[in-house]
Amino acid sequence: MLIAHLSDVHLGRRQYGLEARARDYELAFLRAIDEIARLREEKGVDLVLVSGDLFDNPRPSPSTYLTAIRGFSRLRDLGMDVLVTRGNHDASVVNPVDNPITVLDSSGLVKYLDYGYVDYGRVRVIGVGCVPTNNRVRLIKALRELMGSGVNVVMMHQYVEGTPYRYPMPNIDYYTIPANELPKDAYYAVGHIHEHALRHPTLEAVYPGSLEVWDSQEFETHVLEDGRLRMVKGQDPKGFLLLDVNEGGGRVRVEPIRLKGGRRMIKVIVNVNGEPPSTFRERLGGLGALDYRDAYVEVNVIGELGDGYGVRDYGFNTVKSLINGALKVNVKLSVTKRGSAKAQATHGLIELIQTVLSKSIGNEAVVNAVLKALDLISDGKVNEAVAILERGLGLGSDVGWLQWS
Amino acid sequence: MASVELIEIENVRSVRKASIRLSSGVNFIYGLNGAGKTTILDSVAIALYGTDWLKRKRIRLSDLVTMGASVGVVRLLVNVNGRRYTIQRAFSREKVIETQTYVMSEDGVRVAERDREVTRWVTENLGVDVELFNLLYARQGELRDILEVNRREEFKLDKLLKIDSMDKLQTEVLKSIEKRLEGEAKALEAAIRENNGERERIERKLNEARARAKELEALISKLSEELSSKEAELSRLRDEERRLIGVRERFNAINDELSRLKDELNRINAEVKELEAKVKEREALKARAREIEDKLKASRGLRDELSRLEELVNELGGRVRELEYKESMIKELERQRSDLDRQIRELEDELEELRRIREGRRGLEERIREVTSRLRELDELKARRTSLMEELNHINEELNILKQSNEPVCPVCKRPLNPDDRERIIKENTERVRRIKEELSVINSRLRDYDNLKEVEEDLRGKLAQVKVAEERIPTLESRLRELRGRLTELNGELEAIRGEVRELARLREEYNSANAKLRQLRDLLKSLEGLQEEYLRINAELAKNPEAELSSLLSNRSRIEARISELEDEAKRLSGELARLNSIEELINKVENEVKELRARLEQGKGSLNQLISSIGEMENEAKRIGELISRRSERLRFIRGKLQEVTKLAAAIEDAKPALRRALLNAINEELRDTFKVLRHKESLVEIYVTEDYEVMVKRSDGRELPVNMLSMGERNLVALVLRFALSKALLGDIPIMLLDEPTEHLDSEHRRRVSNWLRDLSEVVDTLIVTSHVDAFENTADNVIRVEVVNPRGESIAYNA
Repeated sequence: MLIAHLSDVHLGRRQYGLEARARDYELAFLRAIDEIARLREEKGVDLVLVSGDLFDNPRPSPSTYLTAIRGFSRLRDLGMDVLVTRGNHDASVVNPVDNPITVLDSSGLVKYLDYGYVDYGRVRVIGVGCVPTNNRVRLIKALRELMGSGVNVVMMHQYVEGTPYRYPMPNIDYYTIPANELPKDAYYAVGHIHEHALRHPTLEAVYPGSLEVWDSQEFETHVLEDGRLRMVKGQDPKGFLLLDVNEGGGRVRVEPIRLKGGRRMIKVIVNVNGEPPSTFRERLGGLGALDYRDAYVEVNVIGELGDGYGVRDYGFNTVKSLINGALKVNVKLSVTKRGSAKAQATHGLIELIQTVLSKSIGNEAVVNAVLKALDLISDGKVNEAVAILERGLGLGSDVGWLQWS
Repeated sequence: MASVELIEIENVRSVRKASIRLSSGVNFIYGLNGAGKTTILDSVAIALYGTDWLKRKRIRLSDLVTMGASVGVVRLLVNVNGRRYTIQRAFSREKVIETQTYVMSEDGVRVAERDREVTRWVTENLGVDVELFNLLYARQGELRDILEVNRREEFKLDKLLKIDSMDKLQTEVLKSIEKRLEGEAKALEAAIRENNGERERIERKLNEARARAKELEALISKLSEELSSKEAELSRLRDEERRLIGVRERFNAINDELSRLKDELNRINAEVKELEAKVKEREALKARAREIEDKLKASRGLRDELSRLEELVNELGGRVRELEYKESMIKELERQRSDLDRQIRELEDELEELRRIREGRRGLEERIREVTSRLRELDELKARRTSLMEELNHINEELNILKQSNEPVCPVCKRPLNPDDRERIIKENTERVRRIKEELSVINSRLRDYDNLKEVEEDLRGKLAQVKVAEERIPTLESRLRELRGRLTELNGELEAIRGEVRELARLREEYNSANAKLRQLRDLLKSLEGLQEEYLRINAELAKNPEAELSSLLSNRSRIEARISELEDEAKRLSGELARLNSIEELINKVENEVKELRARLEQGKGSLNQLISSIGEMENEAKRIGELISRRSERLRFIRGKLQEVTKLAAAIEDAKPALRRALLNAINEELRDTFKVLRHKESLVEIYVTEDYEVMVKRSDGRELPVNMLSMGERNLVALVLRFALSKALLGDIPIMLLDEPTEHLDSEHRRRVSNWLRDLSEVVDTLIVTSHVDAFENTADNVIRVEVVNPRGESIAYNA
């Protein structure tokens, strides 16, 4: 039988705080529904599985609900069953309050599985909700009990240890399950990792990934070199999976279905290598080469500032003005001042004081001594401040003149 | 660039255990009231600033640790410029557990240990101290505190700007440096003055010394000249002396030779005389030799005679000895005889005596009998006396009794007595007493002789004993006498016989004597002949010698010697003339030597003084140089210090100037930020701008140009302004904001503005490395990049926190 396997839809997510992105996520869901419909016609898809994180949070807004209903209604109208399990976002794993999926379930639009299963002939689809790794023993035990004699397809929202993900998520460790603890004789329709068609090396498990771009590592990436943009990689594919499950057993064939039409998400890497602001701004000209229309653009400025220059001097925010027509330009700075081995904050206040003092006091050594002394004074260490300042002024602790007699 | 990547909490307030990953962008902590959102934020603050932060917020450790647990731990994993560090703080209810409080690098090295060091490390590496952190962590309800920018202690801008530190720098630090420098300058000046004085003194002394040195040099050269001339003279004199001494030696040698030669000469002369005499003698000797020869011839016959006589003499001698022996025997016998005679006579006398004594024996015995009878008489008298005395005593006793007692009683029978009887008895007894006493006195007078008689008796008895002894001896003596007499007769017979023999031998003696005499004669003769023999031999020996040759050699010797002697005498005479001069020269030499010695001494002295002077001059010169150097060094240092003093003054002025400039710069920066930000967040269209005045008042400008102080706004508006102000201040002060913690920032805001704020926070997250926002409203859930849920898990109220 042919099964469409989705996960990590994250309806309602306002990525980067942008309304447009929330819309993008909804549209991606609806496009996926269209594709499933088409595939049903073409190939005869029987069943739709959504293994977790359908909604971005346990209390979606009404408009988000409406989108979900729209989509699932269409599937129901086409006569397909939709089985949904809970992920880590659309319910609290500790205190599962009434989660939004049960709402959908009660309306009959979807079937909510949590430690439950549905048999389709010899194919049994088992669904378990997302659990923290500390509680996996219960999950694994339940699986063994739930599994039948035929073909078992397990819907599970966890990170299976060993899956070679490319970009890490903060909660990876929290929802991990080691592959060797899971029963081998089942196909795992997994969710939680957002990379499309990510396969586990040993376990029969493939992640469909999210329907929309989730992380900036998935963006189309360019780097600004010598004043020109060079593409490093394209935007990662997004979509879902088509599972071909043989009732007689054997491996499940997995076909990735790519969704087209998402927004362009572009990352531009700009290096600073200690060149003065003027040189830097010259090179920025190359940025204008790309078409940024409606794209979400992230500019990463990385490197070392020039000697004696501060962040303000470079006017990094003016980068935004070079990128036209984008949905949003986000400039991220990872620059350090030259020679500062320690992250002694040389911006802001210290810079201010240094600038002002340098104007009045010509001597750099003295200015540095004054700064250090000010620090010591605010810590209450007046004597040490005296010593530092004396040294800065070129007065050693030599009482040598006394010894000259 | 510094960001927090992970928060781990154990046993802090309601959170038993939590492990929360943070990402860049907005980290949203969602949870119901009391779930523990604030605990998570506080844990971050505690992890970063430890007890410093707790003290400021007046939070007690005992309130932090979960009930029922003993130890609470907070842990942060931070990324500082690409390097990861773990910051851990552990504490019990009472105190921080210092051994479990540290910062550890990726490779396990603890780069900071203990509460204070960890705080210091955080301050350095994050670039934010605990005061500034107050800006970055807006606790629930404290958001608006920032609006009272100058009144609230923590937000005093001057403090944040370190302007108060600058004041302290001027008043305390710079002043102390100034004081020290001035002190040093003064001291240097004084020292330099002193040094100058010293230098002058030394130079004066130097000049004096130099003048004196010159004088000494002149004196020395003069003395040297004198000395050399005198020394020349001395050497000349000495040469002369040496020569003369040589002369004297020669003279002495000559004299010695002369005396030796003269002695030799005398000896030779004596020998010569001897030899000449000897030559003369020879003749005489010859004659004598001849004489002797004749005499010796006659000697031979005598020898025979001699031997004959010797024989005779021997023979006779023996007989004569016999004779003499006999004569002596005779003498002996005669002596014996006389001795015997004497003995006999003695014995006869003794015998007579003894006989006489024996005669007296009878008389003696009579006398003894007599004496003995008398003694017996006397003994009887004694006895009588004794009884008489007894009787006397007895009577006296009776008398006493009678006299004494009044009642007369018979002393014998104790019968009473009448007075007459008593009288009678008394008279009788008294008469008896008288009679007895008479008799007693007679007896006593007779007894007076008793002792004498006793002696006499003894004496007589003694004598009698003697007599008895004598009697016994007499026969012994008589027999002895007979014996002696017999012996005497024998002796006489012997004597007679020997006498007869003697008479015979007497004749032989005469013969013997004459032969002896002759013999003696002959012997003498022979002796003299022997003497002659000896003489003869001697003379011959003498004659054998030949003294003449000897004599001639001696004579030639003598003449040689005489010649030599005269030679030497001539020379001696010559030399002695010269020698006279020697003495005078010696005197002269002494004189000159003394002069030279004196000059030398004076010269030495002068040189010594000069050397001393030179060395002391050298010392003084060194000293002067040293002082000069010292002065120049000190002057240099003084110049340096004065320069520094000026610098310090300039620095103080510069800092003074800096203060207002700093304030202004800060205000400008703040207001710039405020302008930028407020554009985005503007609450009402009617509000155009917010800014901070020079007096640190926060003002809001309305679209109609009116300016309002911020406390005229609504609570919600004020929250907004406060948010923005915090951000602006932090940005202005820090430049890069590593972390910002906002606890319920959307309080009092409607949903629209919550939305706006959440959007603005997104922009904020681009400037802030780590932004953590909490709310019990889930407005941020959809916009956050990282959602963290905090939920109560059991009736005890314990909660866990996890990444959604």
